[in-house]
Amino acid sequence: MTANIRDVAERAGVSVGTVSNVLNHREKVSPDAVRRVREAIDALGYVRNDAARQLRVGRSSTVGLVVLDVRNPFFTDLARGAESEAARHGLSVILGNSDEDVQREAGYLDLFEEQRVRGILISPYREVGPHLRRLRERGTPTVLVDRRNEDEQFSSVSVDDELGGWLAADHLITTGRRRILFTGGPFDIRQIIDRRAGAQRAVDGADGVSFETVPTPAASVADGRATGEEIAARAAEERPDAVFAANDLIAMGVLQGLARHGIRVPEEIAIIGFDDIDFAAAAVVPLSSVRQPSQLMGETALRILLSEIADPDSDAQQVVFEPELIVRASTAPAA
Amino acid sequence: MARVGIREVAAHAGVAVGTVSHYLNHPDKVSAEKADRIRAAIETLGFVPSNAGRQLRLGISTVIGYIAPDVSNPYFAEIAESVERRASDFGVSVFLANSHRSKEREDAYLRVFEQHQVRGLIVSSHLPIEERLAAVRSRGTPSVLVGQAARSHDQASVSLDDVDGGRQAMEHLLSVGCRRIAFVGGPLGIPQVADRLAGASEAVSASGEVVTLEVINQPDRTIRGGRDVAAALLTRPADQRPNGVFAVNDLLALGMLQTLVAAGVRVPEELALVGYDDTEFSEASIIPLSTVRGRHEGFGVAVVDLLFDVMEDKATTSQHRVFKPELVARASTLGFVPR
Repeated sequence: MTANIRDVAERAGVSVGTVSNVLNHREKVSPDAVRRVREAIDALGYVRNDAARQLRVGRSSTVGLVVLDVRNPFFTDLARGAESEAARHGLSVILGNSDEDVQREAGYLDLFEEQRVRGILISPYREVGPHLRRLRERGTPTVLVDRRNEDEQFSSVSVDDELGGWLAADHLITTGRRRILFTGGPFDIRQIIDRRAGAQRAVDGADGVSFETVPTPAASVADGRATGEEIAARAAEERPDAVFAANDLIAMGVLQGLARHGIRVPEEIAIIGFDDIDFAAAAVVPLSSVRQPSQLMGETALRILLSEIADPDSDAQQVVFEPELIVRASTAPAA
Repeated sequence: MARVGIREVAAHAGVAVGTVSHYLNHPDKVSAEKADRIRAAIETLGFVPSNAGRQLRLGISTVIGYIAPDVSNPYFAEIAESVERRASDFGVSVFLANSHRSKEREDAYLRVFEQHQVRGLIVSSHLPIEERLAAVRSRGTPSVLVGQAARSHDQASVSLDDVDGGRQAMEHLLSVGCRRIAFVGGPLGIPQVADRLAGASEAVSASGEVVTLEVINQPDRTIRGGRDVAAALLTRPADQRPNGVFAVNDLLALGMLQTLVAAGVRVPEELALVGYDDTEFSEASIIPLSTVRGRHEGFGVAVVDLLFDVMEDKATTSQHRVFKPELVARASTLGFVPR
C-alpha cells in the first residue's frame, strides 16, 4: 500500500499543509516539525508523486539526452561528461538511444517533453527538423551535441568534423598513401558528410591521390567488418592502400575484416578512425584516430543548457572544439 | 511563451473543456465533427497533453527504465540495446540511466524513475540492492534485477552463473599450463566478483596441482584500472610475476594487455590472460582476448519478457533465469609456454 501525504501528516502529528511546506522547502516550518515529518517519510517510505507535483510546479529535475548510438563509447563518454556536470547541479540525466532512426528520435523527444524535462541535449539524426523547433518553441530548452546547426538558432557543442576529416586524410597522404578509401554511413548524418568532405579537400589538394567511398548502412563494428571483407575480396591491385573510417567502431571492424584474410595493417593497408575511443589504443593494431574531447563536450553542453534554462531569451552559443590527430601503429609509414 | 493548456484548446475548438478531456482519453466517445475541431485546435496551438496528467488519470506509462552501473562498458551498452529492441516490440520505450557505480546515484535514479512513474525497471548493479528494489516494488513499480541472481523469491532476476564462469576461466588457464595465477578485480564484496573468484578457487582446489592464486584487488574495473595493475606487476622481477591472469572483466584485461605488450611482455608466451564478458572489442584487441562469454542472444529478450510478466502479474515460479556462460579461447591464452 502506497503511503500518501495524509499518512505522513498523521504519523508526524502535523497538518497536511505542514508536510507540504516541508516538502517544498518553505521556511516557515519549525525545525522540530521538519524533523518529525522527515522521520515519518522515512518510516512510511513515502515517495512524492512527481506526476502530481509536476502538474503544479511544471518541471522535473531531469535532463533528457538523445544519442545516435548507445553502443558507441564516444556517446557514452559524452553522456558521462553531461552527467557529472548535471550531478553538480542536483539534476539527473536520462538517456534515450535513437539508434539512427527518425521515428525513435521523435518518440524520445515527445516522451521527454511529456515528462516535462528541464531541457534536452540531442545529437540529431539528419537535419534539425520541425519537431525539434516546435519542442523548443513550446518551452523546452534544447542544445545540440556533436553537431552544429547551420542557421545557428540552436546552441551547439561540436567538433570541427571537416577539419578532422582533413587531418585524417592529410596524415595518410603525408605518410605516403595514394589510394584512399573512405567508409562510413549513413550519409544522413551531418558528421559523416563533413568528415568525408574534409578528406576530399585534402585529396584535392594533393597530386595523384585517388579517393573512393564505400558507404555503410550504419556506423558499427559489423558495418566496418563488411567493408573489410569487401576490400579483401578484391584483387590486390584493386585494393586501397589506406582506409579512413568515419568512426573508430567502423575502423575496428575494417581491421578485423582485413585481419581475417591475412592482409597486413599498416604494411599493405593503413587504417585511421575517428573519435579516439578507449579501445582504439587497445586494438589488434593500435589504431590512429582523430580525437574528440567527448567528456568535455558533454560537460560544456550541459552548462550551456543550464544557462538557457536560467535565461530562455539568451542568444544561441556555438562551441566548436578542434579535433586532434592521434598517430599510432595502424598508419605507420611503410618501411 | 506560456504553455498551451486544455482550456485554450477547448476555446479554440469551441467545445467544453470536458469534451477535450474526453477526446484525449476516450476518443471514441466524442463525435467525429468535434474530434476534427479539437484535433485542428491541438495542431494549431501546439498543445502537448501532459503525460504527468494523463498518467495520474490512467495510471499507465509507456516507458521502462534501465539503470546500469556504467553504460560506457560495452557489456552494458549491449544489454541496453538488446533490451530496447525487445521493448520496442511491445511499443515501449526505454530510458537509460548511468549510476557510475555509486549508491547515491543509483538511489537518485530509482527515485527519478519512480517519480516519473515508469511501468517497470531493469536494474544492473554491483551493490546490494534487493531491499531498495523491494521498497520500490511495494510502492507499485516492479523490476527485474540483471546480472546478479536475486536472493529473495519475490525479486525477479536474470543472471549468469558466475561461479561456473569463474571455474571455466581458471580451468582454461590451468589446462594451458599456468601455475602462478593472479585473479584481478574487486571489490571482493560484490556478488559478481565474489562468485567468479569462488569458481576460480574451486577449480584450483579440484585440479590437485600445486598452484599459487594471488588475488589483486582492483575495484576500478576499467581499462585504466587494468593499465594500473599491469604497471604495478611490471615493477616486480620477472620471476615474481604471475604467468596466468584471470581478469574479472574484459575492460581490465584489455587495459592490462595494452600496458604489458607496450612493455615488451609477450602474451601469451610469458603470460596468458583471460577476461570476462566477451564484448565486441575483445576479439579485435591487440592480441585477441580469451574470455568468458556472458552475452547471449536471448538475454535482452529474457529480461524484457520477464519484466512484462512481472508487470502483468503473471510471473510464474520461474522468476529467476540463470544463463550458462561459455569460455571462448583465443590467442591471449593459446600458445602459452609452460616453463
